[in-house]
Amino acid sequence: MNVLMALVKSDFIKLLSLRKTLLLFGTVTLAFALLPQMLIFSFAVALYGLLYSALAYDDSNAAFNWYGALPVNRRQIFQAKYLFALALILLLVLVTGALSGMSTLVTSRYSPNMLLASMTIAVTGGILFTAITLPLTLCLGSAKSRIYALLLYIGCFAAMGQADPAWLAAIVEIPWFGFPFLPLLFAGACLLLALGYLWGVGRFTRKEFRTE
Amino acid sequence: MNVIEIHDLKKTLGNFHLSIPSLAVPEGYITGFIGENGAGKTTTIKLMMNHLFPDQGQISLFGQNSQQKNQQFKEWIGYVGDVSGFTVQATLLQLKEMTRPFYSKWDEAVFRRLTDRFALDLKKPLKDMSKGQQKQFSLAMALSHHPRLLLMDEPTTNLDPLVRQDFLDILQNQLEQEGVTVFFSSHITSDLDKVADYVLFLHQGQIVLNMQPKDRLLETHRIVKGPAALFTPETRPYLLDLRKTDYGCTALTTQYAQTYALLGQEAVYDIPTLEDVFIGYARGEKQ
Repeated sequence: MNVLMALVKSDFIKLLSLRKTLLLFGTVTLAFALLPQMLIFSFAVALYGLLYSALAYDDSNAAFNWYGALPVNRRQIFQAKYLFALALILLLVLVTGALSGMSTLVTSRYSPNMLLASMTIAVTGGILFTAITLPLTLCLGSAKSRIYALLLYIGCFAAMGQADPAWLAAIVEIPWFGFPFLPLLFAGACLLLALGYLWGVGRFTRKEFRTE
Repeated sequence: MNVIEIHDLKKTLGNFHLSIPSLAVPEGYITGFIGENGAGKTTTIKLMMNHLFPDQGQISLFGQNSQQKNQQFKEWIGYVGDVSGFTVQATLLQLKEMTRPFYSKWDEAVFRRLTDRFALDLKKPLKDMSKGQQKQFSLAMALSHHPRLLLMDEPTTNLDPLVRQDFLDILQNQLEQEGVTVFFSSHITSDLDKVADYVLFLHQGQIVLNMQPKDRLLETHRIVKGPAALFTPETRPYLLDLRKTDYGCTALTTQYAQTYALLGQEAVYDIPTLEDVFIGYARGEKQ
């Protein structure tokens, strides 16, 4: 197995081992994702709970001692965390999207377009959150970066907690300097993700794995 | 061939300074790395594993710089650290599944044999294991990919005497069957008395005795006891840690034959343990 894939797999196994965390966030996600207007909220809760838990448990278990014993270098560890975060975003948006989609079919309150817009906003917020949280947490540790993460999280998702169809329609159709807003926001989040990676990767490769 | 080589290593962490001018660990032996708590043993091993970076100097493992980008040489190392870094919420099986894909020589039969021998329940989370069982699991993981070098930091701390003996037996078996080189830090010198081929002493960040064959060390050193008048200035070059006691003086001699020639049968000569020798060198350094 490719080293990066093995690292990503180890993060998913780690998540599976956090039974209570998984149960808590899984229940909340499943419950809220059945309400299409709460798709973004349920996605946000699940992403925060799972991604941040995985990183925080790495810190509390001094997991870098384990990573440091493996035949992998720091750059690969850093890259794998990004792949894990992106895989998690994809997985969560598919799960919440599928649940909301089923609910939409029954209630007909949301159109498929609105659902797609909600999913795009969720993914954009998730990428934005990952873009800043991941390099900060990996380079500074979860304890130091948690305040930044929380503030950012509120910023990313607070206004999107309940996506009203009218609100969604407005945000999708807003032109911004002649460009459609949502794709522009998505592109911006991706750019920030790339910049965050470039900022963090150099620092992480120079980071010492100390056991305080 | 030397499995580990260190040249001119320096590392500062806060007020602590580690300095190892040179060190060469030969292949196929058990080397005991002895030092008091805080002497720098963990720092040295973490530098070898590239967890920490040296301020100066170079460390080579299997002839390769430990800081090189490609860390593939770690496939040859079984590491049992002071902290394992395992996710304690995960079961032993999950931890094995997390680790196994990184090693091309992973041997499931060895893993099963060792975990059976230690009677470890693989379905239990690591956090439900005792500290001793956690160390046993770390050793099983470290040996399951047929390492050429076993690097261990205080592996026998927290183990009861029976488990400790079992642990030491496994090390000796590995050495005999697979020719594994073992580098083993400890402040429990009785363990190293039993298994070490070579020893080195680290005291307050400095090497005070570098890579000596253990048996020869114990042959050449003696605890010398006798009346204070015996210990004249001309005996001093052969003595370490000379102390006055209620009955006279006691010291560690580094050259038994010469000391015997000077003091003769008026003194008493006891065979020291590694602990005696280490204390002699550590205190001798202070004097």
